Amino acid sequence: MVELSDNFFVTAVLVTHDGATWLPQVIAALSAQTRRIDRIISVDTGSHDASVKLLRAAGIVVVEAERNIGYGDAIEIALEHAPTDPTSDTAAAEWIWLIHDDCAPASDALEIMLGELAERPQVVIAGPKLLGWYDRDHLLEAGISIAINGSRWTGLEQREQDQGQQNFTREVLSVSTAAMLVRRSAFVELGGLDPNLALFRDDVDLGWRAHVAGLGAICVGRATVFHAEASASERRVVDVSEAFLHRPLLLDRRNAAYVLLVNSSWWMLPWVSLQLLGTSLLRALYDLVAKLPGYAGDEIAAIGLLLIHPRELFIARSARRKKRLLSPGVVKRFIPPRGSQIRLGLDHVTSLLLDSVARDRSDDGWQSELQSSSFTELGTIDDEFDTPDLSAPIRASIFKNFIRRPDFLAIVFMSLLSLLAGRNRFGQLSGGALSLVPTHARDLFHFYLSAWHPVGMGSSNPAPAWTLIFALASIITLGHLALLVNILFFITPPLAFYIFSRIARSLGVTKNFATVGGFIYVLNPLLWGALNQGRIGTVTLFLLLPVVLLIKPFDWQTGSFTSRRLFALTLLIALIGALSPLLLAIWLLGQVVMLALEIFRSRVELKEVGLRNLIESEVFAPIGRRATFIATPLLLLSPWSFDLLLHPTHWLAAPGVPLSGGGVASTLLFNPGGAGSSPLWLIAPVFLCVTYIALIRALSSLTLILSALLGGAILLSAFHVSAHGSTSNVWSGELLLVATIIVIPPLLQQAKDVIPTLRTSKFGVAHISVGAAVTALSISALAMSVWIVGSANNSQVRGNQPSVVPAFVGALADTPSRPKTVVLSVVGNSTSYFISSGSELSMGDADVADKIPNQIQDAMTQLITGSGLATSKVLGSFGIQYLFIKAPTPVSLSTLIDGIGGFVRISSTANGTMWKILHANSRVEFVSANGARSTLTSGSSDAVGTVSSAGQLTLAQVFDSNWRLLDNGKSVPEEKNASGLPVFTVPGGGSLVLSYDGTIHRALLSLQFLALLVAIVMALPSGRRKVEVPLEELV
Amino acid sequence: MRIDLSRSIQVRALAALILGASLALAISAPHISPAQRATSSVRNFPATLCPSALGGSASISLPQKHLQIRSINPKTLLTHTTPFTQLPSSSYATYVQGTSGIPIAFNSASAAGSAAVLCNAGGQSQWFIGGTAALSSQDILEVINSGLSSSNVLIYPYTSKGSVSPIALTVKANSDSQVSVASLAPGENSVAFNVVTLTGRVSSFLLDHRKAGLSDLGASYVSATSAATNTIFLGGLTNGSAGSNAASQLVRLLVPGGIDANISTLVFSSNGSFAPVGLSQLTVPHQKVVDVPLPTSQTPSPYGIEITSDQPIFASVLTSVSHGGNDFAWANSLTPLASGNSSAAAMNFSGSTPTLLFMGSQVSVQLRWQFSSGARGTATVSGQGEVSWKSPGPIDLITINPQGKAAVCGGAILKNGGTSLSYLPLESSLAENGSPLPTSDIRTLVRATP
Repeated sequence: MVELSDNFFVTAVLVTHDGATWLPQVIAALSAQTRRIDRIISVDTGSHDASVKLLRAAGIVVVEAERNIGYGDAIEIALEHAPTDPTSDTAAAEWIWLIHDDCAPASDALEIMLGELAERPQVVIAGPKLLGWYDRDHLLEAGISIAINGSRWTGLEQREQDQGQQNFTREVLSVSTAAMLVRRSAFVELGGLDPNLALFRDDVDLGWRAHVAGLGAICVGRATVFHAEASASERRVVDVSEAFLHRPLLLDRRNAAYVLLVNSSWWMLPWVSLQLLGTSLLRALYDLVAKLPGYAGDEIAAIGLLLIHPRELFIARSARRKKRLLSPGVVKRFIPPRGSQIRLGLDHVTSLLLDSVARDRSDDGWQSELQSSSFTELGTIDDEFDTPDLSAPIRASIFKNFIRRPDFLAIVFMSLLSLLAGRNRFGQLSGGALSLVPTHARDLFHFYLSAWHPVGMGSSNPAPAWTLIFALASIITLGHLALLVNILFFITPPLAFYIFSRIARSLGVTKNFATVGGFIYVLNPLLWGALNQGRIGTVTLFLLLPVVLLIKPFDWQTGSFTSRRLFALTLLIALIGALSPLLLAIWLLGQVVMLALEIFRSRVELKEVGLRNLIESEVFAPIGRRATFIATPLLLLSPWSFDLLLHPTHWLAAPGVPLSGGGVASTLLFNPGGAGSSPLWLIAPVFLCVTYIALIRALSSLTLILSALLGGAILLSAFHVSAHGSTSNVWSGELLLVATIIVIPPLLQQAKDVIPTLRTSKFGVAHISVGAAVTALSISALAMSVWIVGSANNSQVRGNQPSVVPAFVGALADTPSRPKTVVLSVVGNSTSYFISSGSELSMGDADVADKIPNQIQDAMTQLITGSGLATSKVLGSFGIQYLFIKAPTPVSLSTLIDGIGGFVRISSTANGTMWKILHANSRVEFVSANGARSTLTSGSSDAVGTVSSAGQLTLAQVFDSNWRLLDNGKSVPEEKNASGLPVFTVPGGGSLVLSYDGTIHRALLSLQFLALLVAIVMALPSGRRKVEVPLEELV
Repeated sequence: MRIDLSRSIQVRALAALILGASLALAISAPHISPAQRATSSVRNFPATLCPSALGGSASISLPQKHLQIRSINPKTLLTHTTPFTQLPSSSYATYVQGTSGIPIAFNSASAAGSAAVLCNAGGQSQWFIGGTAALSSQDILEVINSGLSSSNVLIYPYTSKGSVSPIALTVKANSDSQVSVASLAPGENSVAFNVVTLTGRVSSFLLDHRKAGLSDLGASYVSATSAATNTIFLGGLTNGSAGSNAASQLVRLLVPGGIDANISTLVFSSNGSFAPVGLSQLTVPHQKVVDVPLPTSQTPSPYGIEITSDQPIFASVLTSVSHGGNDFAWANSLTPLASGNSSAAAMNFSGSTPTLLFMGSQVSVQLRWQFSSGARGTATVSGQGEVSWKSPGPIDLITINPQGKAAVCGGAILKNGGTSLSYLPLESSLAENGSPLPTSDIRTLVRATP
């Protein structure tokens, strides 16, 4: 029977360009077609290899062309050399089979495609399913399209395997020119491949034009070809004249944009342009993060190349308009929906990351066994191991499963313990060192970015870096910061247990001993003291610090560090340093000492190399790494780190409200002391561990380190620092935490080695001592657990605690006059006060608080002693409009204040007694030349208003040279009055704008974000250029 | 694994050394803990108030020059520094900057003699055991508000019949209010008052001025007492020169609580101590003002008495003299003098020639004075029971510094001319009124469960 397809005349056009690698197989494949190719013509575009020779040897007609001509031009040349006889019968049924020199069709590919075409007269383009050249199950394409952002769209998943899922014929926008079968007459009518698309995307363009001309394109899934994608995979130099700098990606992106811009409807163009631009920027950003700056440049340059030649676009659109029969919208059904694009994009990124991690692990030799495909390949067990066990598994009871999983039981226990101990910690937390946690992360972001903080009498101190960490971390709870902190306080004990025991196991400790280690780590007075005292930094460090064990902190040889590891480590150090300036100081000091040693050791080599060649020399590498360890954390934590450098005592201040811990004795017992901590008689398990370590001869070096840490902690806890608006002794909990972390694993290792030997040895001292140690540990752990459950009542941190200042004062905080309130507390013999701006003391506020001016201190002293005659006047001049004494208010004091004058009692409730200070200034007060006073509407750091005459403007905030006042747009110089307040002499009436100039702050923040970006990019796994990816992986 | 024992011991010895050194340094490190800071106090001398002239002429003796003063005048709040130690008469009370000495206010409202009182810093509750509301009474209770806000005061009168309903008084800012005692308990001969300050910085003074027709019977301030005690010392009393201007004396008693008090009295004089008739065993009804004659006419001057009670009690002694004229003086309970240079009693007698009397089980008092002529003198008086010292001449400033550990109380007798008599309690400087130093502490603003 004569098939319809037998009437077709097929001319194969083979374009070659340095394709000798693949040509033998390609020629063989063409020769082996079950449906004979009627005519083969080849165009060689100046190959430097043996391509021409191979073609001629195969008896194929070769037309030689310029090396830099495009694919479309080459096809034109071929067709000129293979003319169609218009009188012939084949004229209407001639098909051109475009074949790349790296594409080998299966023997039946042509036959199947022609068979499908015979049944579809309206179809003028057909293509096969493309499979990989090396991995012949790798499905490359089954028809192609273009996304509105210019991506080449195949609709396939990353490395999708061919399992026959595409073995059907379907309409597509286009097919690859690698093996495109196109009706010659239609090809000519459509104008062939666009000469502006020398390479890449010419296929999509042709398909698009065919569709709008009322023609069709199909992908015949049953027909297969194997494609090496030599140009796209950068295995072949792209020499076409349009390929700027011979960069394939640049050409691909440029052509993608071209195709969209010349084929889309005019009204779609703005949207398409925006999509292209946005996607290019995003891709460029992604490439930068993946450390592929060349690709990032390609993305941006591609758009630029189009913009500098707009005429090409106009001509091309005009040409298409003439041949268009249908609306460009007919291709809409082939354009992939946005959801599919996003899903595939995410899959792609995930896959890249996973591949990268797997690659890193294999590079490090970590789980090299994972590369083995079966256990028998490991050679450790017999061949039968890989035989699947088809017998029904024996299911143990749930109870037995629990017994077998002590770690799981321990986590349940810790969670229960945490819930019981934290039963008062529901709601918005505050108390102890933790000031009120804002509900939303945006408040903390705003706080972090602000250059001026209305805390006390105002402060320009930069916000601590830990606030940024928590603001960013609240992404986990969708920006609900209060919920995040709640979760942190509840989850820390079980999570710390899990993290520590997992890390202990990775250090070689067995599962049961790791569980014991986790117990010792969590049943620690330090953790529960920190939770009860609201020391959020220490609490978070309980989760973070054990990770350092994996990096083997005492075995750091920077010489072996890759850049990625270096920056990952500095990021971790910065994270830890943000939560504990004390640890950051110790780290920096240690690194400075080591840097000095490095320089000293290499002094001779450094002298020989000289300054000019220093950076390129090998001697510089370790010094540079060490300098990175010093500089990068400081940059990552700027501007806060610069504040630390300027105020050395701040290194000793823990995050949050200063809170005194215990003294020397409690620190010696690994108990932080202070309110809410366990009693000293309750010996912590970790203290017992330290004692045991001191008795083990083999761990004497560790004893030395521990004594240094403990000695440092004891010494620090004896000193008091004034910072963060208060005075307290130095919190040395972090040093105790470090000691805790390094003491447990070696002890567990010892126990793991010693305890099994006891079974076989005679009963003796060893048995007794180990028994005593285990008993002591058990009693200690049990006692700690009992205390922890009861400690909820001693916890300073509680949920939804009552507000300090009356609600109406809080409501006044946002009024134009922005009144301040001095809050006084008399407890026993202690009298303390601070200035409230009305709003609650919030997270981070204490860290930026500055010293209260001496004038206020003197006024408060006079207020308390009753010796002042002008107390209200002084307080009022600082914009303090209210005085509030927290309950219980001493009667004698309230009587005294009543009589001092200038104070009018306005309320007395169970929470305290409140006075209004008469004639107090507002935050920004203007006094005209004739003495008339007026208030400027004030924000938290700025103020605006209009005045009718000259006068003096006083700002009730501490003096800072960055205050700026504009009078009708002209700057007014800032002065300092006798009280130390900023004043401005306004020369004439007009519009006044007062603001705080935070330029330096913003610059330092920019520096931080830049450093953060660079560090993250450097720490992230690198992307690979296509040329670096093994061909086997690509095709 | 082979362990080098000696190395292990060395390392552990080094570890112990590090730990030991840290402990030693930590313990010996000089520091001030917040707790210590919190309890440290401001040694201040509270400002004092001196009464106005109350219708007569008055003067104030300041213990030193260059003190800041302010007139309690609602029209001005100006404070100025005075270069003098003597302030002239004023119709306004005077606010005097706190200092280590105590100013004395003299009043000459009575034609018969002057009255003197120590200026004071006021208090929440001031008791006045003295005065009269009888027909002869010209008594004035001056309530001074030195604050810049209005003050609310309650005056609780007590009479021989019991307590009377309190009278509320509002005193405007920086002003005083002079209340006629006769209006508080009309017709009552024996009165006492408790002035309770509800709001404001208030000091009160009671001037007992009596007239019988055109005859001026004299005047005396009744010194304020802050609280009732079980043991009361009344010292520096005099019964005048024997024969010529002999004095009559009575003790006024008030038990402010709800239970009657049983008291016993002991007189200390240069002749020894004895229990006076009628006062040795006496039951004093509560909340009633009781006057009991004090039979001490034969007792050499000066002398003192000690009243012991089983209930907190107030007591004072009224001494009336008459010889060519009349005068009287109220002596009120004394408080022990504090020892130590910084808290020595210091006062300016402005050229008077006082007689000082000290009481105590073991008296040893160092006196340093300056004569009006500028010369200086020192003396140490010592003894047991009662010891007196008479100024060798007109003196200005005198500092009185007890030396021993035993409690010593003291009083001064001021005689001027024939009949003029005044008593002054000797009080230590007001330096003891320390207040906790307020510290700026951001923890004040942290939310916490009360």
